[in-house]
Amino acid sequence: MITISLSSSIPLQDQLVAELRRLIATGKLSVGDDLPPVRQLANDLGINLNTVARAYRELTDAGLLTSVRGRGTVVIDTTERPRGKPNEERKRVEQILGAALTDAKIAGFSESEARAMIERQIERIWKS
Amino acid sequence: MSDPIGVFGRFVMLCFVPMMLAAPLLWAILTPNRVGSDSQRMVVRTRMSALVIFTLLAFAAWGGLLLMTLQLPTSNPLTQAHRHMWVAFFPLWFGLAMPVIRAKSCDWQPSASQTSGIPQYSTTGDAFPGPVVRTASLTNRTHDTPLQTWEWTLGIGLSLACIVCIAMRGLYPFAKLEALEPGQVSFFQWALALSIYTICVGSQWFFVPYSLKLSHLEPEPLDSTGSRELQEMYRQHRRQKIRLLFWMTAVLVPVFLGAMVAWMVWWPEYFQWVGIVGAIGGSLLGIAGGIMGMLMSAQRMRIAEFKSQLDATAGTALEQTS
Repeated sequence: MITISLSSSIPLQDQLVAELRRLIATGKLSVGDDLPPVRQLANDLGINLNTVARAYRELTDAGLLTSVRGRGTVVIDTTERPRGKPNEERKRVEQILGAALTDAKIAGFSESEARAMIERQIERIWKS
Repeated sequence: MSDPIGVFGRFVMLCFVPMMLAAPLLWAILTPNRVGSDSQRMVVRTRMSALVIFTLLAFAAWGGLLLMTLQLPTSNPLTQAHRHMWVAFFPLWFGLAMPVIRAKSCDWQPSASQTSGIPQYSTTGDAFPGPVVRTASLTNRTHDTPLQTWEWTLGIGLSLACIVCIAMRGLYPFAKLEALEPGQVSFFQWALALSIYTICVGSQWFFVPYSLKLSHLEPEPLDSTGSRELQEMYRQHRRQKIRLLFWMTAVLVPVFLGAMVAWMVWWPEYFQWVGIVGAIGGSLLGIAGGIMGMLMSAQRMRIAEFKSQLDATAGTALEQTS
């Protein structure tokens, strides 16, 4: 199941990409699973075909999906193709994590609460 | 023309052709106009004008041919062309009337149909129209076909059997077109019947997989919880619709049409009966298709109602938690 919000400030394509990445990361979608055709997903969500097609393409470029003739779009990997060297990749993820933790601090959460949040996410993503 | 069946057959065709030519325009006129803006009204008017002009042209051609063929024998190509003027129904309907109906019925627009029944409750407890959350299943529906291999084999087999049955008439002698007696068939008539049937059934089979695929892709928006019951209702509805569509378009229609054409080329002495049985059978098939469509629409409305209940429940729950 995939959910998007039309009122969010995040573009629909990015929401779709994030949702699909989350489903792959948490094991809800595993290698060999079929994704719905672009038209089906676009019809069900009531969004433009191109938005879904672009989201699929982004994940295909990242090495998570591929198109198989006669079958459609299939999950082929649960790990993204590295965007750069390992060090650069680590730096990029740390930056995202840093920004999220900064958000948490500015929003008034304590250190222990932030730790609990991270623990919960680790539990959800790695141990589900 | 003293043959009462012949007179009746001619009378039926005399009523049938104008009815077919007028049907698209009548349907377009009777469709309630739900347009809201001036630009949409303009689109309807332009499309309606085109439909009116081409319907009048079709009637003019039919009337002209009627006058020209009053004294001509049935075997004359002009008489045949006059009788087959009903074929103009298809371009009038698909090319001109459908766009008018679509323009008049805003509910049929893809953008509207795609968003109908999609949850539009507020996730923050604000008044409608708050944040719009949309949920969809990730199951590839095109892989969930209700049709078994034997159904495809039967459909294709029956269509091929009809073609073979019509083609087999070619092994027997024909009468000359110039000296055609009632109850005889000429090579030209047989070749025409065979090619028209093959083209009709061939194009039918060409479009069957496409139309079935479209049925798989009809919007099935879920509620925010992805209710299993709702998904099952959609699934049942979709499978039923695909099966009915397949049996209607890929089995019943080609077989009925094939039987009529085969009857015409093998037993031309009953030619007038073919017209009557064909008109009645065709109408019955059309009525069956119409009933099928209405039942499916009613079922779809029940699903939409159930979904809106689920959405309302989810909306209330969210308002209570916020």
